[in-house]
Amino acid sequence: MAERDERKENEASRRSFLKSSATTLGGAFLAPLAEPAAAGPAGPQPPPQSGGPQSTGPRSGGLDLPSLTLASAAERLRTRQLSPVDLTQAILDRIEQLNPRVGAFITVIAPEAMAAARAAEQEIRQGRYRGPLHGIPVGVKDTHYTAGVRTTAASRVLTNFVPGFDATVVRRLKDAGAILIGKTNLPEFSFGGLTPGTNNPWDLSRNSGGSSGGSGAALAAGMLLGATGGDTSGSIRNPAATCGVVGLKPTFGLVSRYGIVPISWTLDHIGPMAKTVEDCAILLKVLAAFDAHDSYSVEVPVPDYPRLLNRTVRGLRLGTPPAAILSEFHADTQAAFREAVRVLEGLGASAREVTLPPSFELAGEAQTIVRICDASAYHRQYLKTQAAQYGPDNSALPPVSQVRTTVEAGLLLTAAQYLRAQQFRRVFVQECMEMYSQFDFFLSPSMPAPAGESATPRITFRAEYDLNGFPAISVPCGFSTSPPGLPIGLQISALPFRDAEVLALAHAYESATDWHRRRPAL
Amino acid sequence: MAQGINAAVNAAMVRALAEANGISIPDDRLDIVLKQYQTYLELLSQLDAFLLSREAEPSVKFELPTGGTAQAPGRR
Repeated sequence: MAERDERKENEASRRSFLKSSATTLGGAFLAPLAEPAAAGPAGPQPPPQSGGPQSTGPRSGGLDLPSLTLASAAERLRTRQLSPVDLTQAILDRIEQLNPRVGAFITVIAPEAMAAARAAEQEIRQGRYRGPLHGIPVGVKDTHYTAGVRTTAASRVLTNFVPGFDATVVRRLKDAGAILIGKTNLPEFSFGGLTPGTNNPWDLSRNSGGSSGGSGAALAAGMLLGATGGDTSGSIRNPAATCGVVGLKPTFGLVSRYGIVPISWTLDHIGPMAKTVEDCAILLKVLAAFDAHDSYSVEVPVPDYPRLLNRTVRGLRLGTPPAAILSEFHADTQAAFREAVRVLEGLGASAREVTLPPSFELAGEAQTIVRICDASAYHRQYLKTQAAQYGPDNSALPPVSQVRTTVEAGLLLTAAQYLRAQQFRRVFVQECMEMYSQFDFFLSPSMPAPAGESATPRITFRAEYDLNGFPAISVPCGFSTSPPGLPIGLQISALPFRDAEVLALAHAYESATDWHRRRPAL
Repeated sequence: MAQGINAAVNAAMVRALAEANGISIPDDRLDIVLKQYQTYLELLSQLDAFLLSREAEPSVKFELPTGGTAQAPGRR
């Protein structure tokens, strides 16, 4: 009898978790939230090797400003305990101090940032507070068009390209009052899972991951409070996991791609990166919007993501990868993942292994064909006139361009071959929809291995989520022990447009652990 | 299967296909581009092993079915 009651209670709790954003999405005012997720240090403790809190940044009234989360800085700005000018100057000082070692930025626009900070300060003083991004220093990947500011995509092909307008997401950040600090580093045209020239703040001899590696490294090093990245094969989640920060690849179509130098029009996702899940939710609320300029933008109501974060997870059903697949990941990654699942089970969720549909094994192949064909169509304009200019726009790096080879070969593929991959894609999406009907969320490691370590699982759970477009977040879930002190990420994914729920579960996990509070000792 | 496809392609074919696409690949790059092209053909060969129904249509305009909490994506 008691067991039946408990099951009923769990099911009621689960329904509450999954329903509350539907209420908001339907246009009704937010229903009362469930009680906050369990807080406190219930999760595994950090290894002694991991770095302590940052302590080298500029201080204001006892505060180490660059170490603030976006949410905590926003509250101080709103209540005028903190000046946007002081915060922006502290961030610029931090960049000056650390960027030579980390290499997170291609361009820093200090004068423009300070002018924007002064304007924000004046507005806030006059009572014209715009919201939680007002006065917050942010960076965007250097694929995002910025009016009057060079946008290189880290390629010599675009070395002199100065857009005449802002990408939609840049405009939305500015309209929300954010202070654009600069453009973050990436591999040439976002091709690749490493970011040449950007060192991992947790171990400067290792790479930050990629392709949004500049954003990930800048956040981890306290050089930004919020950032954006682009994800075509995992390029938000990879550096987020590798650098120990949070990165969300939203549902395809939720955030505009207009004004972004593309890899693939049908695979590219733009999304938030930040130090915490709450910060990502704040950013997503601003970034998500229908955009008529983006032919794949979808018109859906945008919920109040930050307000939907606090929910109980009791009764939620979690799917996990088959043990045979998981065993192909790095040993420390496996251990951290299993412990993360236990944490969520400890909060009242139930987890079980699921059988992946047959198409999962070939999704990476189909994603490659789609990606390369789309990219080749875009790059044809440059191959015809500027082929010799391909190569990184950084004289410290070897002038070799894998991008040129990739897109030259891609141009040789036929339309029928491209459409074969797109046929497969539709079947894959359908099979994923059926698979996800068995549970509420699917969990996996965000990366096969920590930074610079090797593991080659058959399925990585990265590009698959660009092919199906489902929302997926990476949240810190531990540190490696061998070698010690490298961040590991937990990926949480769900059905399309369940971004609010993905954020809420990630927030519940984050609230029960303290991995996100660790900062590298730089 | 993949080996059969790859045996049929060569540098001259790469040059011809590229020219048909309006681009010129220098002689010293033909081999490296050929190798990359063969990699793609191998991927496609693996995809061919996945049987699709004859009614399967490609998803050129990518619109997600909304199984989540939002409304269906609007058509424009």
